[in-house]
Amino acid sequence: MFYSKFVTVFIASMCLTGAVFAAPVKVVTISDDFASIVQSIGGDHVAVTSLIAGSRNLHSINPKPSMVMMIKNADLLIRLGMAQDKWIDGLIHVAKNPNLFPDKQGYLDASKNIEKLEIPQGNIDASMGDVHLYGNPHYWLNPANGIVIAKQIMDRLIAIDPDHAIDYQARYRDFSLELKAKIKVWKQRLEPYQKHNFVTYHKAWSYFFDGFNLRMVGELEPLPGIAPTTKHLVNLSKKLKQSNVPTVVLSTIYYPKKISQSFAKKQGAKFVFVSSSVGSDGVTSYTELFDYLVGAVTK
Amino acid sequence: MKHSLFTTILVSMLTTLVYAQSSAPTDLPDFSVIGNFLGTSTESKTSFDVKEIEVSYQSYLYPSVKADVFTAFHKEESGAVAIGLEEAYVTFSDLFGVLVPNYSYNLGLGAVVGKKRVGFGKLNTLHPEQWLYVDRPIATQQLVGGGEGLAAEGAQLNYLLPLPFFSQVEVGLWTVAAHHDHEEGEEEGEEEEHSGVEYENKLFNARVWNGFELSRAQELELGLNYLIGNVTADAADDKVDMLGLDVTYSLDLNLDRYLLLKAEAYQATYGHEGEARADQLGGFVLGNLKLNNYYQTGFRYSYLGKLGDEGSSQTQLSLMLTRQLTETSKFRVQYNINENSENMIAGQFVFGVGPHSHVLQ
Repeated sequence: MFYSKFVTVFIASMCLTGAVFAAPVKVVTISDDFASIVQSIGGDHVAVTSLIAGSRNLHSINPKPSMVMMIKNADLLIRLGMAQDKWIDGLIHVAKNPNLFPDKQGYLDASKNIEKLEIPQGNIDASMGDVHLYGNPHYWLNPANGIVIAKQIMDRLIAIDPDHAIDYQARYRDFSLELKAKIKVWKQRLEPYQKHNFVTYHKAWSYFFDGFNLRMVGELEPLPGIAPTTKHLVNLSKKLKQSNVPTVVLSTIYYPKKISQSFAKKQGAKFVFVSSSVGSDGVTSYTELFDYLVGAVTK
Repeated sequence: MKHSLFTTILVSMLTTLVYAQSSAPTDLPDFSVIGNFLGTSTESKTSFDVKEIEVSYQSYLYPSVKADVFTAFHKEESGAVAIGLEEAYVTFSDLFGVLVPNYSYNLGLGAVVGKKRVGFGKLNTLHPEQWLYVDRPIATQQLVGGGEGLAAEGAQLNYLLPLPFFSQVEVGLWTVAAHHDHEEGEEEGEEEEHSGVEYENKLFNARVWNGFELSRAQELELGLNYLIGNVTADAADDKVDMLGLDVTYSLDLNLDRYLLLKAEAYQATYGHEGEARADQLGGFVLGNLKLNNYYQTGFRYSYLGKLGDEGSSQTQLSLMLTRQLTETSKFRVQYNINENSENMIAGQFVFGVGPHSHVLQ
């Protein structure tokens, strides 16, 4: 009698311990933007880290051994995709984590279901600058794409950790509802700027403009990845003057500030110098990123 | 052999170009071309060389298995153009998982089979387009494979140790083909002159590569290297033993700037087994600062000690400035101040076309 009670209590305590101390799903993302979305969907059921901290130029990342350690024991790796983070392939090889090899359950290319912008047509080469074969890769800068990314993350977390499927679904629902409500507010705040001309340093903001119906009229770079030239800036300046509407010069903090600032000053334009990612300038979440960006443009 | 390799490259290029025009799915490998043009000038000689055109094919063969083939049109010191295999290897990232697919445990054992740059220090494994300078340091040239690097055919096993920091052990067993290829116009029996240690026949290398994350922005890497090889194919006891140490410190700065400090030190011991052997020391230190998206600047100090009691030591100080034109093309200017030979100024243009990647090394 005593023995059977002991066994029952033992089994029950093991089950409870298992439930309470179940290991979280270990997720590694390319940047803090994706990490924030994972945290929103996964809650306490995930432990998430990112390979790149804050706002960095994703075109020039130096892979490091510490990144290998991050993905060595990960259950899920979320990458930007669109051939923009091929350096991650090298990390996957060294880490030798079989969950994360391409097309395995733990490998997620977050660009998969994104409606991509600026996909070049025909043959491309560097006479067009650093044009990307699969289109513009800065897709997280449209908050509507945040919902698409979140859906893919939810599906993958459910596949890896089906025991918490209901939690993931509920959190995804909350996240997407909150983001949809916020998008309405952000759109209202940016509405007066829909008649402005937007100029950026690099063509990094196409998805942001697309999401909020803003008008992009040019970049300080004559072609993607090519340094600004005087001739190009003079031509761009003439174009802006002809249109006779207010201009906003928008640049990411890792591009040279002086050139953008000086150009904005000469045009009498508003100058907005911001982080384009979570993790820099005090931005701690994906939703906060758009509060911050919309705030900076409308300030 | 060269003719068939050339034909293969040409056919592949044409096939890729034709398929690139269509939007239909393809199963072609990633195909890329890297060019390296180099002009140099000393007091006595000025030259311009199409140093190398590298054509590469990279593709997954299986989720954890990848093939990398790097062919090169390469200008030899004699001036002749050679076509050859720079590297051609298959990487098995989960060796046990391939052999026993239903066994899900991660043993962390990988293998590389084929022709590959031997893992002795960090520099030897890098391709010229990854260098931060136009030429290899004098000590590396002397001891680790001349101006191009030490590549060999064989197999390497690598294992990521179960430690809280990055620590990978690599051991490789290789054979090095004797460098007796005769260029067109070269008489039989006449061999091209090479500076530095030549390896032939068997080669064994071991490397322990450690990485320590000091902070999110700072990383320190420490490598311990060992290599033993035959200097000639004919005399199996004529050996070179080499020990190496490499240290790399990297710091991510704000606004996409980046600082890299790197050093490698080598100690080589030459001679026949059982006889008195001679030592030679060498190494370099390197600093590189990425100033912004477009410019990098750096310095390098190289030292090569005398061989036993013979000859004299050499030093070289190099200053480099790189202008990044696009993500895949750059200009570089380098000035070498040599202790025992003429100073040299060099201008280099490196370009890349097509998707191209290397494993972290």
